[in-house]
Amino acid sequence: MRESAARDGGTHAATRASSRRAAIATLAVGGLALALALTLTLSRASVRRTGTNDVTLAGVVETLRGAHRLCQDGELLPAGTAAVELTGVGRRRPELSVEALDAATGAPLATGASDAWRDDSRLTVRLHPAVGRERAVRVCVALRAPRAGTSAALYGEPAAGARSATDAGQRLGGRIRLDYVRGAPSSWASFAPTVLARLGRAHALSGSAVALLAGLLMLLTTALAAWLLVRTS
Amino acid sequence: MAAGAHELTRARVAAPQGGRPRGLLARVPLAAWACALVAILNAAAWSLLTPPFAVPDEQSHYAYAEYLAEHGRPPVPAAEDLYSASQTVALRDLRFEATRFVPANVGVWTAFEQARLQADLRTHRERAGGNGGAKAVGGEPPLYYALQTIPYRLAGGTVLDRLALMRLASALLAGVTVLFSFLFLRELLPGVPWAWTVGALGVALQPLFAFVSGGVNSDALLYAAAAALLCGLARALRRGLTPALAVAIGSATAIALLTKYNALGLLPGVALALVAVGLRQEGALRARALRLPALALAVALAPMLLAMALDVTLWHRPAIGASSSEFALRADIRPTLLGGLSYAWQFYAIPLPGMEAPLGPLPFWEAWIEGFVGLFGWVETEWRPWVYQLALVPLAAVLALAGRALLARRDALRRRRLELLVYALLAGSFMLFVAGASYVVHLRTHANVAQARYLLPLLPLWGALLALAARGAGRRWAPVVGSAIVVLALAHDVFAQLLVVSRYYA
Repeated sequence: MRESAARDGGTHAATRASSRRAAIATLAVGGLALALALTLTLSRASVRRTGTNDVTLAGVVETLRGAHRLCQDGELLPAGTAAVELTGVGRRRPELSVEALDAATGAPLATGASDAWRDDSRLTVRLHPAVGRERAVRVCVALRAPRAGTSAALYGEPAAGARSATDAGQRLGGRIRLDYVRGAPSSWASFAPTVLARLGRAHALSGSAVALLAGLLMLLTTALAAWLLVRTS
Repeated sequence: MAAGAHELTRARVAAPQGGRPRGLLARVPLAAWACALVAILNAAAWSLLTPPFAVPDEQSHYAYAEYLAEHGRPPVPAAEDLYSASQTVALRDLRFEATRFVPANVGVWTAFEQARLQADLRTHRERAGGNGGAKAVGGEPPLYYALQTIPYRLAGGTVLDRLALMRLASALLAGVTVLFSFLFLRELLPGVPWAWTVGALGVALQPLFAFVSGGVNSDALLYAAAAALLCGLARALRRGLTPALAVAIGSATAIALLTKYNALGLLPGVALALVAVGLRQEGALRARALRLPALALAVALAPMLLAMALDVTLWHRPAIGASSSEFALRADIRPTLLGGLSYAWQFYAIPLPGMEAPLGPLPFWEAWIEGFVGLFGWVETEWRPWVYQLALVPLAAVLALAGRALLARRDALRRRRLELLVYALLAGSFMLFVAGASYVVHLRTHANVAQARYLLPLLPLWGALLALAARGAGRRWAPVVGSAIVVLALAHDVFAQLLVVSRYYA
């Protein structure tokens, strides 16, 4: 009887050890797969935004033709901006020029010209020089070399008074959407310092503490879940 | 995985006699506490990553708690939401209106915006104005908000300081939900302790649950109360109804009813379950069989009736706040039974040939599959379509394995058919209530307000499905499948967090 009980106990212990090994192996393989997937995701490069003016895409604010020049006050050009992205429709492949003027003095801070606008609804215009620090600016957009039949319809939302964009001093009754982007495509990993800085804003905690704490909590979550799974196997 | 209890899944001390709270707590396995801790840590991480007021209706829930803390009474429903000066300024500087519903817009990214936000938060400290989210949530019962006045007061400081601590209080409730989910699974599958951990961790790491519980939203308390309720019912079904258990079930129901009116959808299922258990216990239809069910229902309803009396007499609110909201049945709409049934069918399935399809061709996919797999922020932060399609593979595997587990134990299933019926009734009545409320709103506004979070009070049943799936893999593969389920749940959670980070900060 005692031998049988010992045999049962031994079998039970062996089964438990085997279950535990299987759980550990699955966790190890799963953990590696997860790490690989995260690495692949975070190393993928794309153009990153430095900011936006939050204008929605409700409709066409102005269609640039000939010598039209749309100017918009109250823009904040974020630090690190190397290009401006416009949204709309280009007809006959227009090329656009963009100027960022200091909001206080009107002095040009950066200018840029686009390649021909193809079928995409977005057009990126590189700025020279890239903006080192955050600046309050007035942004002006015009056709670079107007040709017959060439036009660019720029999208935005209705806006009244001083918020409205102007053309030759006339209020257009709307404001165009502007996205500010960095110059070259970058991976998530290289973009991490910027993301950490943004995470540290608009929270009760500030700075990198927010991201570090969130990361630490997730590490603890992962470790505790793995430990539990192995221990209860 | 080995059968038989392990030290982590066993009670830490010998079960004491009686049902005193300390004795009850000591009988909770260590693994249950650890699963609860996983849920709290995870929801706390979500609370840090999600920008302020980016959880649905969070601004209104915060306003309600603020109003209750400042005025000592709940708000009165009104036609619009008005916020206190401190919250108005915070919402403005956070670009709340520009960013919600618009994935292309972002929050506070620049140093200038941050400096302005901090200066404004310091300057504008008025908190007594506003009407407490009167339109969106002003008619809801006050329990969750009463709890939230504690962290609101403790935090002091600015709106963001208070919101952060209130979010952590919600994260604690995520722990309560998972604790009761674990105990529910213990009653449901008493012979397989490791499966309790698999199911409870699956619940703890469900991203939508963690996202909502990481925000200020009364759903967090409703989830916890519903999990406690399911646990109590499972215990009653397995071990019989005692007076203490009847009081516990009634208390859990009362907490749910005092938290959110959606809990009314649980009531028919609870009542039927209690009556069924009472009848089974007595073995015949006698008045005595209804004694304990009546006790449970009295405990469940008494606090709500008291709150309704206070609403009418002291607080000058409608007896049922929902009667003043867009969910109310008033003369401006004409609901029909057939229309309601057709709507409810389409709400959870697909339109049948010949049915009018007011919700579009496949509402089920967007609301429930996409919603459960992950729609975050103001339901505008979503993955690419292929992610949702890919998610069908593990979902189908879980269903198949759970089905296999049930098929393999057909005999046991027959013996426990009353339990199955009770869970089906509870889930069915709740889902019908959610569909009914949505039908009323649809008649009034032609909008589909369905969100997967409304069904998360049934989350312990999802945990049961996961536990069954691990069991369905068979004795040999169970450790592998159980671990794989948890790893997948963790991967789902981590990538959901990255999605939110990329939406708001990149």
